[in-house]
Amino acid sequence: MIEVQALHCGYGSTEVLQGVSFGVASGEMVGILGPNGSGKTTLLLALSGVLPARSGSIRVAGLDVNEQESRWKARLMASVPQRSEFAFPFKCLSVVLMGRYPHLDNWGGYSPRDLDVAVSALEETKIAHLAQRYIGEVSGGEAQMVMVARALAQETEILLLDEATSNLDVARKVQVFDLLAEKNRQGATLLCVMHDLNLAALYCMRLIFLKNGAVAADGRTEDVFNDRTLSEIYETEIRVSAHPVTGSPQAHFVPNRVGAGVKRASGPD
Amino acid sequence: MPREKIKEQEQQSHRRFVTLLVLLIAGALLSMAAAATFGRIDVPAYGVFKAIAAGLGLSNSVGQDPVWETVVFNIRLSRICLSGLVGLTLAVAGAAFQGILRNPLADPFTIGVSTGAAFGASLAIFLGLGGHTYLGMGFVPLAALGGALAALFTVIALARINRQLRPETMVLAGIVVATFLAALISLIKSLDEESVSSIVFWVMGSFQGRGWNHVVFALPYMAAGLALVGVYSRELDLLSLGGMQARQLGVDVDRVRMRILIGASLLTAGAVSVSGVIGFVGLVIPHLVRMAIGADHRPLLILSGLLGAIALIWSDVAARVILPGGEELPVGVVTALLGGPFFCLLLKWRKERGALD
Repeated sequence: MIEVQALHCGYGSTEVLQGVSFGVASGEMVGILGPNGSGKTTLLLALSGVLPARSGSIRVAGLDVNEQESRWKARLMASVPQRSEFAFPFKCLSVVLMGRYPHLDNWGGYSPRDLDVAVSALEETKIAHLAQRYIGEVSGGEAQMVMVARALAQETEILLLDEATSNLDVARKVQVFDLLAEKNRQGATLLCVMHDLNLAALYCMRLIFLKNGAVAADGRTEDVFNDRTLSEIYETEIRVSAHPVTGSPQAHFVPNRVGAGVKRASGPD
Repeated sequence: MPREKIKEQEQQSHRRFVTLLVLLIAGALLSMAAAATFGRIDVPAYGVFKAIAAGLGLSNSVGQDPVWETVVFNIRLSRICLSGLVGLTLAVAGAAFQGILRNPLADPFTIGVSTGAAFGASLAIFLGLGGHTYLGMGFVPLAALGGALAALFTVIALARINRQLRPETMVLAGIVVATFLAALISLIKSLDEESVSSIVFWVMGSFQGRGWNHVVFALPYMAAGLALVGVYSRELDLLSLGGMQARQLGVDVDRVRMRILIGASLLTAGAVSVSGVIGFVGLVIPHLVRMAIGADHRPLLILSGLLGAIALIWSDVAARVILPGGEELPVGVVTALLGGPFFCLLLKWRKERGALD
């Protein structure tokens, strides 16, 4: 579905991605992890065709994204940005309807089906009650759910999420990822840039770690999510143990200075 | 919330738009007729309607004062049509500029198009070309149009980086061009004391002495601008979220942004070339409409245009009759005097509704 070959990409004189290569098959749910400044967001911008590749190539569904129209890309890939600023009072439903843009005809009118799809997206994200509220008047977390709903309304095969749940509370994080996992089961391909290691290990079958603009590790979650790899990539001590319910690997950070963390009486020493 | 309820609410807001549309169209037509009753020569209301009907060829003018027909149809109505058109185009251009620059405080004059027009007009007045005629009117509007378009293309040339137009760079380039041209206008004024008053009057914006030929002159630019902005009204919604999101949602950002910019600038250039610089209409009217119906650009552009027309028709009536003794005020003074305090009120309402910024 997605083929990235020796990708170099950046802004101005800084080159952020320095030779990134990987492939994602249709129906995969991949977490993209890595320290700050490793190039995760840049990679998503390049994939969605916003940032042109300097060299190397990105092929989606067999075609080079830099040579395709934005409309074609928007029918194939939907992006959920990290955060959005709204200069004007749009209704939440209007924002979700904007996801229908790549499917509209030249006159740009919304059909009853477009409205149906948008309302379904609001229902799936459990924010139907916000439909007529202005986006500037809902909470940051609710606004982020509107962006997720807009991406669903785009009805694309591929979903690109850039820390889409970073500003959400725990319940909403789980709610969004349950929904994304469901979309994945129905055949969608997902690439999720994430900061939350444990959330990634809980939901993604495969993880790609970026560091300094290159792939530092790439593999099935149970293969790459271990003490040594994580500690090396994040340059801090990390221990992995099994999730008490699902058995997925979960990371635990170890304080650097002895005695810096709170020592529990029941903890092992 | 059940699906039916959301759809019903959508229909409700559509009905609200249609109601407002009908009200504003009726209001605009009534305003045109009512505004024609104001003026130095006293024409009774029935005389105004008869004269309009006669002017449109709907009835013959047998049995009524022919002076009325000349005054009402040729002098007043042409001026009313022109002020209505200018109000409409300024409000639409304001909404479009605000959308592509992602700035609710932008107006048709933010990127220097108006200063370009003022410079063109000042230069024509300074060179003594005001007496020359073109299309049966002074040469000044043509010079103003040329100045406006020259300023626009300078701004585009300055703001274009890697074939991309960035809103922030555009605003900066606009400020640079406008400041430079304003200095040149001051230079012209100090070089030629005699032309100062006509330059000042022109820069403040006025419909004095304008007639049907001015309408004919400006109409093609206004029509082309309205068509361009109208065609891309859906894209304006997406562009107002920022270039990156618009691109990810499938908009051909660079091309569409350029076309909307040219459309909105044609609107501004057409308006400014026949009326001078009239402030606040393009800023206040879209703001007001957005507060009533939200930011979706299709209804916003249509209702802003109609409300802008009504606002400027009445501002011009005030400019004509407010001073005793038949002296006229520049209409730009009226819109600034009304628009400034009104805009403060709008901001206060917004604050009271709880918006933080």
